[in-house]
Amino acid sequence: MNKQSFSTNKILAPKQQYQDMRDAFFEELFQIASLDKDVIVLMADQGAMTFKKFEERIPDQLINVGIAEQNMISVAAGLALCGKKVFAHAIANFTTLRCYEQIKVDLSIMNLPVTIVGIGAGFTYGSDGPTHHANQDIAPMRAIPGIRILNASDTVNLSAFPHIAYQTPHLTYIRIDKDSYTVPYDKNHNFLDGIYEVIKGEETVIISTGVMIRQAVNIANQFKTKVGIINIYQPKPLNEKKLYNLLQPYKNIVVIEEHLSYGGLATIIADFLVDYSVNKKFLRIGLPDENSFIYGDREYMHKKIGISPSQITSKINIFFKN
Amino acid sequence: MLKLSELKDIARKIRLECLEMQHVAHKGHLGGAFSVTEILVALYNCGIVNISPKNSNDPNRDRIIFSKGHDCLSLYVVLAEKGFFPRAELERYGQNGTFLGGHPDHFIPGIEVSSGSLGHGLGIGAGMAVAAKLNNKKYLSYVILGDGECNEGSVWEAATFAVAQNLDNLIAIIDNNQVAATSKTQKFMGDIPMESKWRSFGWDTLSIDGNNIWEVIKAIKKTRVNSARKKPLAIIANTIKGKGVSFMEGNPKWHHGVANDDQYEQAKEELSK
Repeated sequence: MNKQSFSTNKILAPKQQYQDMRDAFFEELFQIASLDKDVIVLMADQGAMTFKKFEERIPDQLINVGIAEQNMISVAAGLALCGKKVFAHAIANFTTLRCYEQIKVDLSIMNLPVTIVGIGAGFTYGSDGPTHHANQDIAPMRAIPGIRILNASDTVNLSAFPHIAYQTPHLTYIRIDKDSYTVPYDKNHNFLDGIYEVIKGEETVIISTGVMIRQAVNIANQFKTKVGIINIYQPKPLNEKKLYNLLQPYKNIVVIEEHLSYGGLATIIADFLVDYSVNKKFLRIGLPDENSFIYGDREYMHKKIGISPSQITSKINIFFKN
Repeated sequence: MLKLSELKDIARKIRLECLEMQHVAHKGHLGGAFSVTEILVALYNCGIVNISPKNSNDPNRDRIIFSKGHDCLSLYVVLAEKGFFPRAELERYGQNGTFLGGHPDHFIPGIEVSSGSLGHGLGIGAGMAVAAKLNNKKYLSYVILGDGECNEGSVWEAATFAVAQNLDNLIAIIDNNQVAATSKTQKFMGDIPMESKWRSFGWDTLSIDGNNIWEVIKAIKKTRVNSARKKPLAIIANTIKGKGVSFMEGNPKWHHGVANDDQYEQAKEELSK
């Protein structure tokens, strides 16, 4: 995929500001769908507040396929083959891993611009146990040929995602978190870039994605101007040119993610560094190679696993010393 | 429409050509290609279903989804005969660089969707049927499945969805040859008749001799009559795997077995009569 294939070259943040992550996505999607009857939302019995508006005003454009994610993806393919612009929504694990082969065959092999929407990135559903932890999905989804992955870190980039999916049709996986988090962006930021420099630093840069951007901001502030932050909200395809330029001033790279520390963002960045022969010190901080049987909220889980802000700060300090 | 004797002869020649293609390529699934032959002839050669090389991009065309992709040999022959692509391409089947793979892909003229992984076609057909209703189109979506394929759970997800959505424009045709790759399907699917499974899921059903071209034609004609019941229709086409060649009939070996020279000659002789 390259920008030349896009039907538009620039997507700015929507004017409306949101407090809730899901509202940010579905309210914008509702506005798009209200103007285009070919936009169809499929859901595998996973609701959202905005769906009430769909039911009341554009009921034909919201279909509950029931608890059947494999069929949801196949139905999405059939609709897309007949010109519909489909968004297929379920809990992140179930709309990726449960129906992985349907995504491979019906969407990727068929080259269909369906948007898969997964709610519950990482430990969004922390206390619900490992069946509900979406902490390995980026690895297999990255292996789907031609797919675009968008990982929301805040209500602002998430509110731009339905516009990206709609205006630049492509097979896309959008990861949504449940909490609310709003950050300022440069008003001219083009969300097709896939990358945003949150804070410019001097020696070290934290590269992160999704919810961990919030942790990264807290951590970077402790190091004052020394540490910068880059938000990779589009892990695939990686905007390599922009990343290459942004990395120029830095000596050290720390990748922080709420995903298994292999196969996700750290691996994507490591691949990039090797491919471009970029030689910098590299530290990955993510989840260990195990299922998590820790039940609690995100803060609690991060602390138990060793990826709370203070624990990450310690790891970075040790990294500096060595 | 052609005479019954002519249609029977078309079916015989398709099988003969499949045998030839497999013999040259030394690969291909003959058993299921032979069991599904009359179904394909009825769909493509009888003027009942609105699909041809001239309208293959027309949004109003009927859709035929060949979900049991491994049995594509006979489909390739039918599509070439119909003019979707040159007959010469059949000779390149199985050769390096051919576009006719062991399982059909969507870029082949006449192929609506890639298949080969079982259990995908019915859901895709259901999506097409929903789109037809949303777009006020009258086309029908026909999905050809194997009975072994009906072991896949995704088939029943789609079957449930089709009933919930009142998809009376969706037709599943089950090539019920009762033989899979290693054994009879009954061995791992149990004794419950195929028709009662579909009926219990809320589908209208029709059980026919799927190797009797006249019965298949009658069944396909019935799909053109509007159902007052708002239900999808499953045609259980009871067939014989390896139909037309005595030593292949009903034998799992010929799921993807390749005939040696002697077997090839004998099969050729039987199919030439």
